[in-house]
Amino acid sequence: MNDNIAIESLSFAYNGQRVLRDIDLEVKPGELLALIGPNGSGKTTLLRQISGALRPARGAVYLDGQEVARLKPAELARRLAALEQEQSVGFDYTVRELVSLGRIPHRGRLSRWRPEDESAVERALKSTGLQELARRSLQQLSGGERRRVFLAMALAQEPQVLLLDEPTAHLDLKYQLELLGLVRGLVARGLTVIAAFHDLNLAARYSDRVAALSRGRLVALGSPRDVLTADLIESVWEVQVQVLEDQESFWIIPRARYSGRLLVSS
Amino acid sequence: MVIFPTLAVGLLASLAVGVAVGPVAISPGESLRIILAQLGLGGVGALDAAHRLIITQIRLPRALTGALIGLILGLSGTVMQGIFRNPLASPYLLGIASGASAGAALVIVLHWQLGGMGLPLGAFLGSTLAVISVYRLGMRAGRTSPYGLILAGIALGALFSALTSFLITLSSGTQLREIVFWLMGGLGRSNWHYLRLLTPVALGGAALVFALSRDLNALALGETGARHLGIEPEQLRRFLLALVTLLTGAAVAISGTIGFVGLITPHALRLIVGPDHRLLLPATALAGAAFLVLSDTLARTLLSPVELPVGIITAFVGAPFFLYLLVSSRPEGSI
Repeated sequence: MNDNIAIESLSFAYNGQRVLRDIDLEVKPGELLALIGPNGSGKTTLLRQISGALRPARGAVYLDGQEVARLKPAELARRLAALEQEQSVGFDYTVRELVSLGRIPHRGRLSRWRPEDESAVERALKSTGLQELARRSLQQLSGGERRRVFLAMALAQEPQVLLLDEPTAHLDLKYQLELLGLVRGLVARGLTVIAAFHDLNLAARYSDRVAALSRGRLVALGSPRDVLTADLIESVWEVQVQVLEDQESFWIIPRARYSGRLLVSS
Repeated sequence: MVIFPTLAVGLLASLAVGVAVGPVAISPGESLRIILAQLGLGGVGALDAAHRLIITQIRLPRALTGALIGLILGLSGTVMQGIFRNPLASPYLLGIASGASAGAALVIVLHWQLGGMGLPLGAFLGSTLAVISVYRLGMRAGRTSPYGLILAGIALGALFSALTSFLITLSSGTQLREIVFWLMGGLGRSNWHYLRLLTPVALGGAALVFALSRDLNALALGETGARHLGIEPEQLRRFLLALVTLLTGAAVAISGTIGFVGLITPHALRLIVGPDHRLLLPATALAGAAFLVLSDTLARTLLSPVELPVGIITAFVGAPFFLYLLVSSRPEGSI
């Protein structure tokens, strides 16, 4: 087996409250896996387990066969980058300064800025289309542009694995498609991506496989078409949907109707 | 960058002014000849013995002490603002100043001389005790939480201030004057002995802080953001807080609590060199040093022969500047 990420019987609890239960999951190199599930189902917690920000209570996460919890933080950061749902920055950095922070794990405390650092930053700016904005301050950018800046920072880390927590949250339609198209292009070049999604149609359209979480358990795993059935969605989200499909793609349409004062699923 | 030569020249010029200016007029040329002679360089010529004494025993150690304390306050302020991701943080945020004041007041009221080391020792121990208490009380679930630390700092600061006020009410007239002058901060107690103790602390501490500038940059992304770049935020914060306590504690032990240098310097320099700590830290070190030496020269000469506490000058310059920054700063997110 040649797995990039392997998760073995992983469990985790916050203050005695079980958040993840017995998760087993393997992600191959050059694959985009979408994590889906209702609010509080454990998507963010699972991503933080994979990124090493949280330690499993039981079980383990492996990166190329090495346990994530045992890797040195800098060693891990050279191979795996992660973007939080809400990333904030203290102080007013420019785009280029911020993207350059992605080189931190590759450089010693006192080492000089090397040509390879410069070219990694350039490549990251170029592939996210930020070259024009490189000298601008982060405060002057729109929400979509900021997302791209943080993605560029993660790319400057030159990781094999990229974790994204709701990469399209708060973005308008155009930026959503732009950002996911960009991520898809990176996957085509061999990057492994695990991304949490709320929008099931985006997850279906851009991912290779989908993993559905419900109350901390992995309840379904497979191709978008196999996982995102009307039955599964109803049992996990408690919402009735209609799935429309043709040869190339399919769409999930919630069936909600207005009854009296409340909007409820029929 | 043109800013570093400018700052370096500015610091040298401020030192020259600090040595040459005072109630007794000694020309810069003569000052330089005296210093060179003292270093065993250059022909002595006819040097005025009194002038020589003033330069070597009073003004030179005082200017150098001012430079080192300014350097410490500038660096410590930058580090605290970096740790708390907030440009309103100062080196005194966690009770160093109030702890040192209580320690110093106690030593003054109890007449502990300890061979001239009583006051600095009392202040240093007071500041260390305050920060350790704040640190212990501000922990949340085994980790340092910025909110917990700040709140504990406010509470313990109030407690130590109350202790200082209590000691003031117990003190005699001369003691009262001594305590009040200590509280306002000044470089009047500088001497070669203190300088010899302060120099390795200041320069060693500065070297360590410079070596961590990359890590401070990562901390700007917050707890999880830093960890995703391979930096352990908890260890880093602990080490930096200990370093700031040692540095600021040593500075305050000699000069008392001088305000605004540690708050204003990083803020102003960030506007010029940007937030990257690899540039910001050396810039604030140089600027803090020059600012304090110049402020002290003003404090000595404005109402000569009366000497003002330098804290009054730094506040007079610093507070309006700070208010200007506050009013003119960008509306959202940048503060």
